[in-house]
Amino acid sequence: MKHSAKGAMIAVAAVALVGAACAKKVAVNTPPPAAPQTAPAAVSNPRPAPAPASARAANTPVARPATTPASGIPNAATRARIDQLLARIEDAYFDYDKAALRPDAMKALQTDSIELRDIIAQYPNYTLTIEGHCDERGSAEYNMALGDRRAVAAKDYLVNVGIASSQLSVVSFGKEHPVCSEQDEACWQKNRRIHIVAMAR
Amino acid sequence: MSLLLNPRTPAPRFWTRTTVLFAAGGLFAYLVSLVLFATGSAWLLIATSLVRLLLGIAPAARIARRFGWHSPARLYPLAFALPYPVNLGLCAYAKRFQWLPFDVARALSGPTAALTFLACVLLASRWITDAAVSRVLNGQQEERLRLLGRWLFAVTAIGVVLVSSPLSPWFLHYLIEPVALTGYAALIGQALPNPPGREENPP
Repeated sequence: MKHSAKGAMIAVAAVALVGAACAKKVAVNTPPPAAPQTAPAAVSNPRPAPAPASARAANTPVARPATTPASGIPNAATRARIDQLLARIEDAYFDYDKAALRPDAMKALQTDSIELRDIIAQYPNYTLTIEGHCDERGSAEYNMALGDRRAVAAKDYLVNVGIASSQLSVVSFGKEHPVCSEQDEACWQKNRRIHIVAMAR
Repeated sequence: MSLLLNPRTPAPRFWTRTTVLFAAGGLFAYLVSLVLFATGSAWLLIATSLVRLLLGIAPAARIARRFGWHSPARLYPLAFALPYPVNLGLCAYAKRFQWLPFDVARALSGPTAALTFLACVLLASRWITDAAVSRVLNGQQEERLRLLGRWLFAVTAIGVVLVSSPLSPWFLHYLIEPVALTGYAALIGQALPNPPGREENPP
């Protein structure tokens, strides 16, 4: 029976290690350090060099290059541009217990999403993560599923706009991350939302 | 010929008054833990998840001993049992941003990830509980303990895979968890030694 106890401990440790080892994604909500211009991956998988940085200056629409940048990860200037675009894309809000996009939510997603699509298309290793959120009413499990449905609805919309499905991922926080903690309809409305963040794979 | 030489003795009954009493103790432990979980305290949740089987079984053992149904046995390993801790798994998941790296916790956000996490917790708890209960059983009822573990594993898999995600935790918490606690308690009741001269299951 000692073996069983040891086995259980080893299994728990293994699960923890596997979980930690699976950490790949890096959130870029907080400004990351500037990425090196030449990535080691480019050596094993040679690709054409990225367009000059001047072509991706901030606040100017970016023309889609004929070739993909070498690293697949945008440089600091482009990341700043993507963050700027994402900041302009407002959160899309939902009705109570609904996961269908309202007209105002579609409008919020539509704004700047075309330009975002053009930029994202150049960087296959870059993804947009859509976070689904809910208000505090209902069980945690129900809201987790509802937040997932909301995020998937927004993802479908963005795929229709033209963003590659492989560059969109969804997570659901249910009611875990509210932006407002009052208990009134105005506050609940703020919490029933999807939010988009950019991440490197 | 072998049948004549070795007549098959009937298997002893599993459900006896002691077993039923202990099963009731397991159910009592589940009901008490429901009340304690409702307080919302994380530490109380951890402590209750660990010792609730002992809390349910200790009174049953005391009653059985008082009526002379069985001899004393050591029950303290049950203080480390973790029988089917659905609430503990859900609480650990809800607080994942506090104990996991941010990017891992974020990647685990979603109904499928939540259920996978819960299933892993329940699977790990099965090994821990089996180890603790097995010490109390002292070599008896090992086959039934394995059978109960396999059954719990199968039902958990069904609950996670086939039941729709918002209902899965409800299914596991309110249907399977009481059965698990009752089952473990009944097994312990069955395996406790009878006092000399008292046979509850005569051949």
